[in-house]
Amino acid sequence: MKRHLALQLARRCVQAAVPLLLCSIVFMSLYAHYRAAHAVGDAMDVSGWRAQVLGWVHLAVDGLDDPQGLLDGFKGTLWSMRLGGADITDPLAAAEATAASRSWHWPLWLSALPLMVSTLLLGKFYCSWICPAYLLFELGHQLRRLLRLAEIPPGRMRFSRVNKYLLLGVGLVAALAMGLPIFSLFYPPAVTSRLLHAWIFGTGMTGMLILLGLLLVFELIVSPRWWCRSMCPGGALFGLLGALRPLRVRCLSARCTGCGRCRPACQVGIDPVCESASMECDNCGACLRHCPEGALGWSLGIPRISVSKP
Amino acid sequence: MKRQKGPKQVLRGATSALGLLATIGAGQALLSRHVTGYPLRPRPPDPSRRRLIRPPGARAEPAFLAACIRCTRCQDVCEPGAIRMLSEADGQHYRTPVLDPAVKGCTICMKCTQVCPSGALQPMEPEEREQAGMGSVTLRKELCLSHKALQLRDTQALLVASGGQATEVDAELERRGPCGECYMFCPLRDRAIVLLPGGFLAPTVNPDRCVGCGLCEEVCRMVLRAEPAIRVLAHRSWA
Repeated sequence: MKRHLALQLARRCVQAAVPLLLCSIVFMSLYAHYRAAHAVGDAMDVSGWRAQVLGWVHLAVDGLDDPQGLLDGFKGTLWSMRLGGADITDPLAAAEATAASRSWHWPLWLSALPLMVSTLLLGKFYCSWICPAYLLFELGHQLRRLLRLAEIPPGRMRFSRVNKYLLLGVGLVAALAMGLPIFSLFYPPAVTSRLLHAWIFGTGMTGMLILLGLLLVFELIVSPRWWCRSMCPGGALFGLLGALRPLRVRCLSARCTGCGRCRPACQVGIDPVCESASMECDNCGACLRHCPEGALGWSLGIPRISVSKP
Repeated sequence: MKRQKGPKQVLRGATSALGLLATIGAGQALLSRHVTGYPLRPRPPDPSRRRLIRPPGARAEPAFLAACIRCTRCQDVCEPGAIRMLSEADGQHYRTPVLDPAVKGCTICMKCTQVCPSGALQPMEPEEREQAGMGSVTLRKELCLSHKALQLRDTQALLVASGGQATEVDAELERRGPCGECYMFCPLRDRAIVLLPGGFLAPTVNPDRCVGCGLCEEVCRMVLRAEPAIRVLAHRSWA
């Protein structure tokens, strides 16, 4: 049990670290702009808390041998970023750009490879460990407790989990037909990451705030975790990629007493006892911690196709 | 909890997907009506005056919109801060990079073309700056300080030659005199902007060699503090 708690703590740390990393990347870019302006004797218009943080970046970076090399190594948003010199792109971005432009761009797919390969092995870990929108929706989910305290019953509507695969397909076909990437417009992790970028750069955020706000309100009053469970095209793509993952949550049926405590713990709303091998499970491991009998555990094995039971 | 997945469920899924797309569409329509552009710098009120200038090496317009994944990496590497992202209010152009020479010119360092992950900006080397192809340039001589000074000298010389008295010169014009800043800032100096013989640093522009970086427009705006004499013309249009 302790081990499982440590895993959840590690997941929370990574989840918190991702937005921090995204923000520091933006500040490093802003600082690179500031350096460039300074080098040609120009002044850049920064004031307030941004100037304060830029001062910290300056303290951290300025003493290094090659500050420019470090700054160049970290750029972009979660949709596509340069992380320590390696290009990392969301496979969904690569897929939709390929569909929309109807041409194959090798460097794009090479940069999508790290996430694709790790998903093949670890399943939808991107959702539960990295996605900043997942964290946002998890926090929004906690607000339901407040609703209950105020004696307003939050909505419990459920939508089919098949929707996200449909949306993935519809979106890719639409991108192909329209010649325009459309997931980029509303895919929450891309939007959240872009929102942080726009916030720090001080550019327009209205559309993105409205979108995330609508999603949060919908999840709060209509359907719990609606986006991740039944709408996310990225989750659908990662689910398909990770369908044959070797690392799975497994239930020892001999120990399981059927108490059902793992069910409310599940972030994606499945029954960990019988559905943990399905494409829906995002390997977050939250159910492991909630099993009083220790019946749930990890299994590392030969992939085998299994379909979610209705 | 357990429910059959029948055609009803699939239909429900499809309708909710459509509903989402409709919501986004409605949001777009609303936004495009009520929200204008960057909050930092006001746009010119007339949208037809807004030029569509893309970073160097950008593909032709429909292909660019298709290939650009809206990741903002080009904005991050643009150290002069010339690249800005359009907003969701700009319809199909949402979150794509543009340059606005009225705010900042491009130094044609080509870093943005090298970081573009999707090939929307084709990779280019700094040596290829003459092929950047962002736009072209036009000069209005009646606004240019150097041309005004040159013209003034010519009229005065003509007056004196015809036996008349040189007229009093407008003090403001005299003080500002010849300028030549656009020539000094042009990365393709003596190719895109050439000085006229006869002094006064009067420029002429060569639209065929100009790549449309907009450094001349930026500095001209700074000097004149008004409508600039030299302006970048976009190669592409809002469709």
